[in-house]
Amino acid sequence: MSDLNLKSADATFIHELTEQPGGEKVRACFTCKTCSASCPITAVNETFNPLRIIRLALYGFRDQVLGSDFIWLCSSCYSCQERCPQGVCIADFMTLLKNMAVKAGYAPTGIRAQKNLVTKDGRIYPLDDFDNKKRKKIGLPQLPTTCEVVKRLFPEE
Amino acid sequence: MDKIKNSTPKDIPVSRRVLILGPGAVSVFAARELTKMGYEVILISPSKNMAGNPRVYGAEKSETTAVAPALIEENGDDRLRILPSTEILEFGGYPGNFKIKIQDKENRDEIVEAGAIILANEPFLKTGFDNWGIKESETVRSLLWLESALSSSEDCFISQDLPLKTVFICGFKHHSTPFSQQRAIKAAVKLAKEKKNEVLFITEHFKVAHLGMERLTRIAREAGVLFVKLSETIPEIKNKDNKTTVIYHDETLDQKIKVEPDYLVLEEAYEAPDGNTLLAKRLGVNLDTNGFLQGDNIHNQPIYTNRNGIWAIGPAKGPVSLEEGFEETKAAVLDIHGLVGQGDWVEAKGRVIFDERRCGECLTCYRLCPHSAISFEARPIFHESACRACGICAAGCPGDAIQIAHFIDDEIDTQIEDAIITECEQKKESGFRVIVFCCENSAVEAARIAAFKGFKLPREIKLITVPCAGRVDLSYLLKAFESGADGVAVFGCHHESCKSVMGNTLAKKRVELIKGALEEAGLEKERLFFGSMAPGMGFEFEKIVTEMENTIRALGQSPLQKTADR
Repeated sequence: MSDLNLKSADATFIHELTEQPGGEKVRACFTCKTCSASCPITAVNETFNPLRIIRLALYGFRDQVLGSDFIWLCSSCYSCQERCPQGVCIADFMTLLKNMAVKAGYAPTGIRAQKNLVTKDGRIYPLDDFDNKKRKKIGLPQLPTTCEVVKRLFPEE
Repeated sequence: MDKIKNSTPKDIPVSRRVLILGPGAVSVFAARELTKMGYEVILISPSKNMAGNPRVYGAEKSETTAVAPALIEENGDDRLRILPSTEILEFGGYPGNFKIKIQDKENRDEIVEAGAIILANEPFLKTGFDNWGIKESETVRSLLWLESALSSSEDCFISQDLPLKTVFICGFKHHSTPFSQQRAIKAAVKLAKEKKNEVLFITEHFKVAHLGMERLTRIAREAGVLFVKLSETIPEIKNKDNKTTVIYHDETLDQKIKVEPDYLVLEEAYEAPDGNTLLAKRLGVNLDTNGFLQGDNIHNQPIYTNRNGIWAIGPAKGPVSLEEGFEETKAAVLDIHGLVGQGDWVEAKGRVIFDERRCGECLTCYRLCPHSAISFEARPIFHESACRACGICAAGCPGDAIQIAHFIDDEIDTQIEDAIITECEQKKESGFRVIVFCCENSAVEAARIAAFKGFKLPREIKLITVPCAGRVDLSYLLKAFESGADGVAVFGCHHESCKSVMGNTLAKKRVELIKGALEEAGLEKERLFFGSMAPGMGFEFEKIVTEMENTIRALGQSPLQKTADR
């Protein structure tokens, strides 16, 4: 892996993180690696490693953290958070990072496509006439194929 | 042994004066405690400053200023003599009656008498620039500089635009101590909290177990200090054109990280005072591996040296906290009260038995004694107050002029013969006999524990108690083989655990020597053993004994035994 220069780090990043829910205790981390050892995703894919993300965040490497794919690999199983001896809310921290990444425009294409689907149809799995036809056959009420209310959750970009 | 001089107990007058070697808060505290109890105290220091350096204890200046100079000032007490810039030139005598020649800066010397000595001189702080191959510059600073800069009013840590970056390098190979680490963390917290610096704390061996350190590190982390722990590599420091670069390998990221700090702070090492080597030689006290005045031996803990009557407390043994230093002072003062508090000392009943007619005045005993308990005036004089009755002198004496009560050569010889004869009578057919010399301080205890845990010592193995493995004379080993033993062993203490400093080393040496002799005589050298153990090691005792038994059974009877049987 390439060398990192602390010159490119942003010290305000960690301040931002600690001020938001999920990031309050991240400084308490003493790199015991319990989180990495507990993580079911690390077991499958070593590029994902909660400790690594926390370290990068502590150093203040904003772009490397938010721009990386691996924050999206977290399945929020809470194994790390349950086991952290220092009480760092790691799963919540990952959620915080995901939110910040979206705000910074770093969302990966898959997530973006899902977002578009939800905006358009109000569901990840869109309903169409075929579904309603089947529902009618067995006597179930019709469902709307679009959901205008959900659109309001996502402001225009 | 009919004309053995058996000295009767008698009262020996001792001096109620105590010599304390400073400088430093602990030495001053010891002086105050002793004068309070009515002792005369001579407080000397090779340096001019008697109060020492509070930083040595990891303390803030304010914590100690209250103690040391105040006492020096209030020195209206005529029982307390304070002699700055004074060194110990010569040293003689024995516990209760030491004679010390001291010399001041103007080369005026004086001989003083003292009943006891307290060593409490402070280590000095040595900057770490040389260790890292860099020089002090505007960006590379020592911890001491940082501390004084932080306490002064001028501000060099706040910049207009970006926060300054400070990197601490602390806890690497070159004697890092909890005290300097404690100071470094305190400074780091100050920088991060008050000066809003970005602080990176690079460390290798960090003593979180030390009192209060865990709390301090938590405070530091919460204040924004980022800790980096390296265990495989050390950081690389470059200093060019007043620009410092630190490159290190972050193990959690498995990546190299490059920092260009505005300040790089290095801790100081706590080194033993330069004069210690010479002083130790003059006092007859062993130095530890770092050059401090307490030899690396478990029995010296916490405040003793290899000599009775000389105590090494607090800073003399290496960096300690002020509280520890004061506690040790109190313990030493109690000991001193026990030794010289009554004004006289009742000599123990002759533990050392000396036969003048056999003495060849060879000085072997004088050279061997690890406790400097033997002085020499035409013939050896044994000082009971310094003697620990280990018998190293008795084993070393070529004329067998020295005997230790209850462990007289004749008695041991009889024990050896008895062990073999009884065995012969009881079990003629097996004819297997092993003699084990057990050090009273370790192997005897270990055997007791083994027995308590249910280990049944084979009847063929006989234990003979000696006061120290160093008491085992060459002649004992030869005598045992000569009497027909199939195997002989010496069990002593572990390395650096001998109560008499070198008893175990001497025993090991003697065993090796006899092994050579056995081979020359045509016997298997495996018949002779040396085992080391601690007093609590019952299980190990069992293991060693079983191993030994198997070896000797495999070797069969000693060829010498048949002759002995006949």
